[in-house]
Amino acid sequence: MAKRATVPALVSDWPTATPMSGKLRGSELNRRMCQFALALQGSNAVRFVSDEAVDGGLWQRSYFNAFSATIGGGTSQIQKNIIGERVLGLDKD
Amino acid sequence: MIQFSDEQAMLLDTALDFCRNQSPIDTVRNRLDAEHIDREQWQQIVELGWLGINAPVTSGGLGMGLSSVVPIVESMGRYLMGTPYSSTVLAIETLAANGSEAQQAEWLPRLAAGGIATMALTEADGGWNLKDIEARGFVDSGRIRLEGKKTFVTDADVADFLLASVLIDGAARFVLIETGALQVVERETVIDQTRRSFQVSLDGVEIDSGQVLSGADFERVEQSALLLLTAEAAGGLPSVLHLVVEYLNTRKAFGRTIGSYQALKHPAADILLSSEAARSHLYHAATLFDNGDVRAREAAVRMAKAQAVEAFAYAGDRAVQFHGGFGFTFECDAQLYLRRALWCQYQFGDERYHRQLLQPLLLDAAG
Repeated sequence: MAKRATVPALVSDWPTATPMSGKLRGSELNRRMCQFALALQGSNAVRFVSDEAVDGGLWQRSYFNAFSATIGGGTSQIQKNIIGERVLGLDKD
Repeated sequence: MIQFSDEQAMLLDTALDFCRNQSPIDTVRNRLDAEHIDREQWQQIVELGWLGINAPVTSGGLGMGLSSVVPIVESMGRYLMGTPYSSTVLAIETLAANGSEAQQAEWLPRLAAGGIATMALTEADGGWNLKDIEARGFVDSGRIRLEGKKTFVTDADVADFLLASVLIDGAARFVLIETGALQVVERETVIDQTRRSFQVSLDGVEIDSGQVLSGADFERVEQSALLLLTAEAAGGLPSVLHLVVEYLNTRKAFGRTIGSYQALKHPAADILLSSEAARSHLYHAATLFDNGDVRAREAAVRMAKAQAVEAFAYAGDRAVQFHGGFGFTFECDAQLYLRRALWCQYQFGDERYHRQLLQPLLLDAAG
């Protein structure tokens, strides 16, 4: 994505779109990936950090931890406002 | 059509009052990872007669069916109560549906009198098909020697007996095991800290052939478990929504309450719609549970479970997010609901699993 952003023809619609959306995409993807990782564990998804848990409970812990990134540094909701207003040029909320 | 009897309405009122008084959020927090159950509270539940509701009349119960237990479990879910009630009620239901007259006469009165029982259906692989069983029973001159391991056996340490699924001569059966005969009962670390869950080893346990339940209706037992988990999820939904709404109406950002922003207002409205839908699904499933056509019942229960747990997990997830930096902390109650929701979601099948099973039920010609 970083390389693509340097090719003018690929970013001419909204030049700041990729740099402005990286935090939102990355943090939300991580949250959803952790949710998906739980969904692969069957009943064992309800385990928490312990020897019996899949990967020692890494995914459960990572899911709870994922909110630190979807909240900190501007919540995902704020990120979308910023993208809507600064990248797309929509009216302010 | 959904039926909600006057008795159910009264029971819901009584249960809501009881659970509100018994389980304020401070108590829930004080009891997280509790080593022991609240015996005084259990005694009150027994005295309220709630253990007799779905026990058959022939065993001194009211014979009202599992549907009448739903308002109680819903109320307990609403106040995040941790009691061995669901475990015991599910064991009663299993015994009533699968036990011979003699087995019911021997074991059910003990539970009506305040005993605790539980189910041991899940195994280490975490699979949701209850007939996919590794545990075995070997018949040897009238006795049965058991082998295997069961996981997520709730309240096993306080149960008088448990009903475990095992293969005997290749057939899936339920066996009744007095917990005194168990050598290994180990507490498990689970995501929902209001739950007391145990791993149980059946190795070295020997039972009498009379402890093999005569019936083996795994479908009905699975659906009973689903109905109870749905009730809990449907009960938790309005609570977590109240928590969210209160915060959205309190917290200010950029000079406005955050609830005035559509980014938060719309998901809150979505949670409300899904919460109401969960309740409708729950009572539809409850209505069909004790009287309905088998296929309609299965479809209603699976739909209800899929809808309610998906909604509850979404609501818990959004509750944490919408509380912002505070939501990420242990002090925020949002995580209590999220943890509870994940338990409900991943015990006895998540929404994807049940929707796959719904496909033939809903789309194939009835037959």
